Amino acid sequence: MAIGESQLDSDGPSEDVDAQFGWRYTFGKVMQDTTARWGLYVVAFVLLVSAYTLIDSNLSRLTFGAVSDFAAAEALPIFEHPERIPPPGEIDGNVPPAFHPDGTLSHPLGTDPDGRDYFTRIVYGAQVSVSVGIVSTMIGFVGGTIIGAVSGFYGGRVDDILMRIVEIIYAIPPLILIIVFIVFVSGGTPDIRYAVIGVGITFIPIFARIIRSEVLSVREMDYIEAARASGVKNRNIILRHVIPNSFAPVLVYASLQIGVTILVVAGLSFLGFGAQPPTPDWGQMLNVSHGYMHSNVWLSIWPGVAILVTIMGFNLFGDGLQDALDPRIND
Amino acid sequence: MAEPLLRVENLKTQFFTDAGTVRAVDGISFEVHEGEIVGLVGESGAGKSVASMSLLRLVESPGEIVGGEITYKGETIFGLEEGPDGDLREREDMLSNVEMRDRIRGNEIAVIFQDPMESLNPVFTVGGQLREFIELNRGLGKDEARQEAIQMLREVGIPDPAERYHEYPHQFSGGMRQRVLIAMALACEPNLIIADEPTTALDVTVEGQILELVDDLQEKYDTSFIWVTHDMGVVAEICDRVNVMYLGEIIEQAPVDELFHATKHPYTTALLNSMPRPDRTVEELEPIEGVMPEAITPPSGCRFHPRCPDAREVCKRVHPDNEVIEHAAGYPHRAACVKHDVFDVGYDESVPLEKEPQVTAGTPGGGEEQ
Repeated sequence: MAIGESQLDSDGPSEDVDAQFGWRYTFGKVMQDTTARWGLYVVAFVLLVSAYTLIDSNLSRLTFGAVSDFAAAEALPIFEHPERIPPPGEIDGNVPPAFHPDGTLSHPLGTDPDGRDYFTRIVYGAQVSVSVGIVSTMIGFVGGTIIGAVSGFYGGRVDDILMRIVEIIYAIPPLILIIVFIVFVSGGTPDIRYAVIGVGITFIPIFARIIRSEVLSVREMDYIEAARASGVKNRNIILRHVIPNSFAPVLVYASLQIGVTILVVAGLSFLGFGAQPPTPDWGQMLNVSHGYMHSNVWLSIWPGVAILVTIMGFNLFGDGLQDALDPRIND
Repeated sequence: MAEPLLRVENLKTQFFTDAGTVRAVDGISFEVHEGEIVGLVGESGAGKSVASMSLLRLVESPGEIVGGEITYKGETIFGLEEGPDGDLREREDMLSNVEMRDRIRGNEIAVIFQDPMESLNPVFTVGGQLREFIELNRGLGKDEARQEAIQMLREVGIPDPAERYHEYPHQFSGGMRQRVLIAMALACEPNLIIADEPTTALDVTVEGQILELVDDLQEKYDTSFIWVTHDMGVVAEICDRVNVMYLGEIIEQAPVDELFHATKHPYTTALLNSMPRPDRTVEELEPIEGVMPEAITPPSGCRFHPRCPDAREVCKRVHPDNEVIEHAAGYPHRAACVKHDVFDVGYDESVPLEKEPQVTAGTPGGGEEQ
């Protein structure tokens, strides 16, 4: 990871004028595409919401504690103040959403069985999901890029060994691999961090294979030979010449992969291997709520909608990015 | 004569493929003196590029340098010796891979590649690449390197270098890119530049400009060049001495005037006859018949004999070395053809060979030799 970052850093300042032009161009292309634009809006919205949860400490208290925490509820700017705050004993959870006859505006989406405001939990869940999606994808992305680039660049025995390892990982059904990984590493107390790392590792092979196939053609280019002939170290050739020229397809894939990752981690949380209560992960919320399917179906619907919208956003954006970066589609 | 800048002796580079051993470079010897432009001429597949890459030890697997000696400024770039167990091993004074990379490549010996379109990294600006190259090899700071890079761009005749510094390779024309590559090669003031068909991808007018530029810069920096090309016109224009390669061997070696006016090898003659020359008027150009055989199974005897108009029976049997035929302008004129008296293998008495109707690749010859 450190290598990848330092490489990006070193490009930044020297070519900033033109690099900005490139980014702006790609951004412009994405914005021209209606669906991609909406994808971008959704992604931006989810990112903003999760950023907000980091800033607002009251929100966090409200998320984790029952609504009996009046002070927190009152300090919270984005909610209407509760007109009638039930005394703690009265809360049996499952306050229905606001449009329901029994609902109250103070809990727009109702509360969960433990009496925690559902809306804040959904909002807080955005932070969990987005960070999970990004971190997991980054693990797969950086790991896969390095392995794939090294493997493709050196070829021969290095390639054989690395690609066989990658294929072994690839051959195991991902969900089983992740669960086994979590069980082994966590030592019986699953945590969302292990899920994130596990998911990241299972995605390494896909990224490695994509970038390797690109590298195989890039390494034959004359500028690689030229770099070698002018005495550039192999490591620098890989970082400066090979990876930047093989980047576009993996970048697109990564943007699509964030959505998949969120979904997989939500699935793991649903199975109990991901986020643990009281962390309000959407998948974990689904897990809790499926027991209340009959009494309060909304408990299942809200996190489901949140997952759906977020993943749709990332996928639409990823598709748009793909079109924008693919020279065959550009005219 | 002073010690040459680069001395290549009996260099052999082979590719070990499934189809057999390709003897791409098979025992070539030549020298490059300071401030000299030495041509390496031949058809496609003669081993010119492999030879020039061997000089930097940049032959890629399955290729390998298997014999010979390369000495640059008294340092051994490649050399073998017999080990205690009788096997050949690399000599101890041979430069290590790290030394080759850090000290020789780029700093001492630079390369200009054939295709200017492909030799610049498309994702970085031209200036950025040039700057980085100077920074790496000369240990200058970023700003100094930038100044130097702009200066180099100006030097090779790029208008508005400060502006164009920020442009990407695709915004440059072919000729401009070749200028950039020349700037890059010159940037570290190497003593030797290997130019691997640098003008082949350019049209003739641009080629002319580039040749002029190289001539000027060569005078200014006193750099030596190895100029790899298949174009005799370019050779006449720019080279001081010429090595003609055929199927991995140098078959004629002479100062440029000698080569053109006192040609000693039938292959060189055939090459010259196959192209238009300003000093001769002919009705029709004579192409060389057939194609060059593959280097896996080179013909027996003289490798050119299946296509040679002067071939006689003896040519099939005797493999001529590149012998000195004459001395001219202080340099030897070597040729590998038994029709010269030096060889004394009975060429004159030998029966002329009947022309085979079609000589193609894979002509039965020396057979598989591993």
